[in-house]
Amino acid sequence: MKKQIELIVNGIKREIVVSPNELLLNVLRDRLGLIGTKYGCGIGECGACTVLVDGESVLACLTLAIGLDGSEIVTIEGISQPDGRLHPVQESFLENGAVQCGFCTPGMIVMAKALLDENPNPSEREVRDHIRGNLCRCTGYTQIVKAILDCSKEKKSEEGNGGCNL
Amino acid sequence: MVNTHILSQKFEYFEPKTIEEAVLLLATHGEKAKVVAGGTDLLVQMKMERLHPKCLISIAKIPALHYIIEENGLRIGTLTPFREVERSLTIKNKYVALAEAARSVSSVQIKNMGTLGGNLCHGSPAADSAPPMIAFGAKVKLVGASHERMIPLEDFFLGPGETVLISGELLVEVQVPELSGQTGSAFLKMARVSADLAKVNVAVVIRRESSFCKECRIVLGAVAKTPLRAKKAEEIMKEGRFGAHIVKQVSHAASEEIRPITDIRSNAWYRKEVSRILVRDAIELAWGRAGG
Repeated sequence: MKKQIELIVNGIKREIVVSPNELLLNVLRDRLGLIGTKYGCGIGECGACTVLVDGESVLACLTLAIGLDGSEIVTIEGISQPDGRLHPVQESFLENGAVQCGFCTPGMIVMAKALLDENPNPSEREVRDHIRGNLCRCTGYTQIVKAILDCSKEKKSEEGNGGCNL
Repeated sequence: MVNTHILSQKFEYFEPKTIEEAVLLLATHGEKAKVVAGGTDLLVQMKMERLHPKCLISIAKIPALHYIIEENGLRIGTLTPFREVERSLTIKNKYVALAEAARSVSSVQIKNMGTLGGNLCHGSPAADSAPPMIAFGAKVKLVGASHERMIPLEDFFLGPGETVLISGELLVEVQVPELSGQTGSAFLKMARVSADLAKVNVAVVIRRESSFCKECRIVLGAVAKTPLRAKKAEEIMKEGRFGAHIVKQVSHAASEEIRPITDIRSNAWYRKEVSRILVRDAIELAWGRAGG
């Protein structure tokens, strides 16, 4: 029993017909071509498929698309600014060498954005706690944590214009 | 075949908007139906081919199941996600062990998706919400198409994946009684990494009067077929003036009372050793929080 749902994906309205067993991850990757969101473990342990649904970070691999009618979804493709400039978090990941193989990066950046949106000045502990469900198998956590911390508002004011432009 | 990339099983899907509609659907579809809230447990079970429901009834669009109300204690709707339990000021200030348990659940993403009711109904002996809720003396409200019943959460679990929920019933609310007097609580958990399920988790709730413990509940998870109250240990707590000596006796008794098994997350011996330490630390924390 298929159903037509309406999603707003990265600001664009999409009407899609989905089966009950279609996962948000598969809809994003296979139906909409948004392959930035990764399939890692498929059972909610690695965080590589993290996207924002109505502003909350969720795992696309465990989300039924059919239940999302009317929801607003932001994927890694929608994190950069409308004019194409990278989001400050993305800039900071580049600056800090926080990308190694890159597989965990989309999930990490989506989580970082979610954190900074609600808490612009996280402590290192808060950053680590927030990304505890995102695995980096290159083990590059030090740079990732530093990249997120560099985006905090306080850091920015300390460094004048050198920090992130949040 | 196990395939975690897609959800290969086919099923009917319903999205009731009210509790009445939901229990009617449950009554119609009986054993073939499964209720889905956050999906973080159920969809994993389905991907792993452990469950094959013919029909999923999503309660995610029933606003009447989503609330935290302070009223003669606390009433929490089944659909309330852990992230909200963790952030509720009432829970943080009064029901500390519950806030700590919610905080300890897996990851932020799972806490945004996973619900209190889902955690309980999944029936895992390691469910983080169960020990604090049992320790606070919580009751659950179960609703069917033509009946309604309240049962103590302590009696809700029957075994791994098994609860007293009968076909057609929906857990709609968890009720936590008002705390009396000088009460303190604590939740502690030992897991491989912070995003993991518990090897052992412990909740302690203590009501004290000066240097005596008047009431005490010690509940452990992942150490038996169901979350377990260490009743002998609780009795020892009330036997004398609080101090290091009694804490040692109580924590020893608790670790003797549990019936842990060896599985992928830990082994029986280690669980006993760790339980003793966790119970000791949780008692000291709860005692301190009860006022001095």
